[in-house]
Amino acid sequence: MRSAVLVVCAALLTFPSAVLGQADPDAQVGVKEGGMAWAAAWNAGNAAGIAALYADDAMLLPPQGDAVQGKAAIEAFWQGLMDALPGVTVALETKDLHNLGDVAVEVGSYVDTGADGEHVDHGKYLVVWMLKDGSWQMARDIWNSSMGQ
Amino acid sequence: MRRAGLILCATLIAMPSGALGQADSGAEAAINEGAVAWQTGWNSGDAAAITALYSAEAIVLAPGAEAAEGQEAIQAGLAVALEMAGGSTMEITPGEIIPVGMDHAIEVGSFVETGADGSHKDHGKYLAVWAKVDGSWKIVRDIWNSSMPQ
Repeated sequence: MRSAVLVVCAALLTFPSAVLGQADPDAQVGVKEGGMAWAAAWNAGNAAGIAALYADDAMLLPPQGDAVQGKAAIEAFWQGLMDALPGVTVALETKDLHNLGDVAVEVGSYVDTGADGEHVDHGKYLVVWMLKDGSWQMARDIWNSSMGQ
Repeated sequence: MRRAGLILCATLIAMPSGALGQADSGAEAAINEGAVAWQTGWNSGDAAAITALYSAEAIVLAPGAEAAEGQEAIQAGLAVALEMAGGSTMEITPGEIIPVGMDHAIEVGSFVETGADGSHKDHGKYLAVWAKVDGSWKIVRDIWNSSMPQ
């Protein structure tokens, strides 16, 4: 009996934390998974799924508008943009990730493609991620279009 | 003597850590000075002076352009922007400053751009990541956008 307990303990210690159902504290992994989840939620029209990736006190700094603060306002913002851009899909790519401990700064690029495949927009973003309660959450999010105005 | 020691201890315990100099990395003062220097550089049309605020490996993400990496690309982008701005003046206001350890800080602020004729040209917000490089605070990432409807 005692040896069985020891085996379980050893197994738990050896397993990566993700196997135990906790988010991986590695920023590289957390940010990559977060970005994939963001794009998947957008492409599925799931504004609540996007909002779930942000910290409770997160702030969006969107072009052509004022800052948006808090999860409920962030969900409403993305829902509004989805409604304005029906059928538009987004692809995100991390270009640079600067890990500062419990904070990570990501610079990336986005491409928006219309339902019929036309190029709608492309640009870049900066996201400040924070490790909170064991998971990497988006704390600040700002972006702009690279296309001529 | 022992009593004086006790009073000193009580005073030290009661003081916020910032008063003991532990929590102050100098980021806030450097960022406030940096904002003034950025604005002064813009208002005097001096792309080189603004560029000096950025680190050698800084990345600037300006609207309507691809990312600019490094001081040379940043200065070239600023020179073009200054020429297009036609003598506008910039007012930069740091809002939130989030210290990250002793060597980094994140700044979220706002800007107002006024045309040479006094007209309201633009206003918006920015996010800058600062790092202490060789003892002085430099901007390592900078992105902004306009808050005006298109």
